[in-house]
Amino acid sequence: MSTLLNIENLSVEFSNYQGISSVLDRVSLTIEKGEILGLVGESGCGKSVTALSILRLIPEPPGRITSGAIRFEGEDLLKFSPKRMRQIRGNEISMIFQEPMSSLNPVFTIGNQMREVVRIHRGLRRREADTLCADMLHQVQMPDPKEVLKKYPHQLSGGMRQRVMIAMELACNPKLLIADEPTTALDVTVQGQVLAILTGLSRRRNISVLLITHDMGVVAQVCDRVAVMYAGRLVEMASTGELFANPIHPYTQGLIASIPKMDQQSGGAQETSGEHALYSIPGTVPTLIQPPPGCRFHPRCTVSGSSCDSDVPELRWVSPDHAVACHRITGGGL
Amino acid sequence: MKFPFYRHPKYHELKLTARLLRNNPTAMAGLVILSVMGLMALCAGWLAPYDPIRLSLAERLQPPGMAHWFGTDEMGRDILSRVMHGARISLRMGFVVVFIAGGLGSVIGAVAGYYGGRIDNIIMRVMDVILSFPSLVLAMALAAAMGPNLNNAIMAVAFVMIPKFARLVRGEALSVKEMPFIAAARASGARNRWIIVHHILPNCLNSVIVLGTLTLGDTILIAASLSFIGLGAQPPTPEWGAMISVGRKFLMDQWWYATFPGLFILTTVIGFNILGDALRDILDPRIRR
Repeated sequence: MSTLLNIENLSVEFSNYQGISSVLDRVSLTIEKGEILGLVGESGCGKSVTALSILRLIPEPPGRITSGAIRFEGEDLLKFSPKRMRQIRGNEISMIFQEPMSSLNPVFTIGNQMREVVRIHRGLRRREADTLCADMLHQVQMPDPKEVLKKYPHQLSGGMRQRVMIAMELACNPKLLIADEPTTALDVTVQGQVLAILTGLSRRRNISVLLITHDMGVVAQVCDRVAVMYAGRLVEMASTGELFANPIHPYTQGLIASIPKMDQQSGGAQETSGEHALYSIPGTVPTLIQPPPGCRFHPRCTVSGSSCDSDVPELRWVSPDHAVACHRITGGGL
Repeated sequence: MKFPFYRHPKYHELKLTARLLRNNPTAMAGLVILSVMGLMALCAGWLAPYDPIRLSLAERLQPPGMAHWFGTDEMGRDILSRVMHGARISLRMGFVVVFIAGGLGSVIGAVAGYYGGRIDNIIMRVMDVILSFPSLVLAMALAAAMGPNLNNAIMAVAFVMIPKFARLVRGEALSVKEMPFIAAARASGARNRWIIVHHILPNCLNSVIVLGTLTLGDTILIAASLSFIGLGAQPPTPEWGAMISVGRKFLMDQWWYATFPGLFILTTVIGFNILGDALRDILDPRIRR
């Protein structure tokens, strides 16, 4: 496998009247060709900002990319001209969004919108574009694609709309697909279906996927590797199996412990009532205007040591496929 | 599933609009008034009993009667025929003005709302300046400066109407540009101009149609006012405002001269206003379904 996208030390700041918040702090991650990388973390931890930075769609101002590089096939996207960037978007890197309800323009038919996208990006004539659109809809398992093309977005269900979005983005043959919480707004059954379609297409056509989610269940189901973010920093990165079997960072451990389990009583024997409470990480996400010094997780951490509130932990490789940023592991803390 | 005849969804939308229109008595009243006016304007050449500008001094200032239903003017011209031809001028003026003002105003508003910031500020302050004049006074000044004729009057009124549309569309653009489908379009490489033309403007169309209909009434009124003070259509053009202007001198003894053109202005403007009001309800997506 070779590297498709390589983010190095990406820092992003947003300023508002309260001050400057460092939304991303030296985030580094790589995506290999054909791999599905999960990016997980709580709301507001910088997952979506990372995705938008890759496409250079951070609103500036108030946002600003202060340092770092985003290398796509070896070239730094941050140095591209707006024109060159537009050619990347949609053609090389596509993105699907969380809200399938409103990601389609309500005043045009599905066919109208899909056709425009493929005509512009692939330079097809109308009839060829129609055939391709129907074919793409067929590939996302849409029943009766020709009829769907004639419908307006409000005539489709949420799952169907999200599949339309996937079909639309994949019609341009991107090398990287960024999926920003693609299944959050969908029913669980539909969610599974959409994820299956997404992974199936990724495998078949060797498309890399950056899957942003806060759902560890989704991660376990579809991702090859996982990167965990907390308050604008990458805290742990590992292959999916390794991460679930051997989570090192206390935050990751907390996330995994917070997954509801059907087969066992969490808390187990100590629970006198027999009812079991779902584990939750104490505290809340810190404000990014004045983030906690040192490790940003230390105020909520159950095992934080002396230097956790002063030194920033660096991401270190503890095994060939597992990196973590925690003093407790690398020996700086306890 | 039993859908033997599939039709394009636009067909269903149009059918729904038609049904809502039919079930709305005021809308129908407006539509009927305007259809009659429109028909009259289109067919004035065939329907009008006399030539609207041929002089016949023998029949000057005749009261309404069998030969001349609406009477004649001081040159012996048939007022009914003149009023019918006047509908042609007034309606055409109205549509041309709304077309120009609605088109330019929408684009200006969409640009201001979409780009925001400095561009928005500059554009909208200019619009505010235009709006700060009473529209009739500004139109008068412009028409006078450009020289009194029909085309200049159209341009002057259109100019005055632009800010109305710009304001409306700017507001809509502000909310539409935050919709996820705009972000999605940007993420698939759309350029700003494309987004404005293909996403912002079509989503503002409903409101523009409503405002356009209401503005048609205003426009006809302002246009007639300009002609009334001699800055629009010039005699002997059978324009309603111009006819009232001349008829004013005869109001004491020949009431019919100014009254009939006035009634037509009134009816047309009411027609546009009630249709516009009804359209606002009918095209409102919250009421539609």
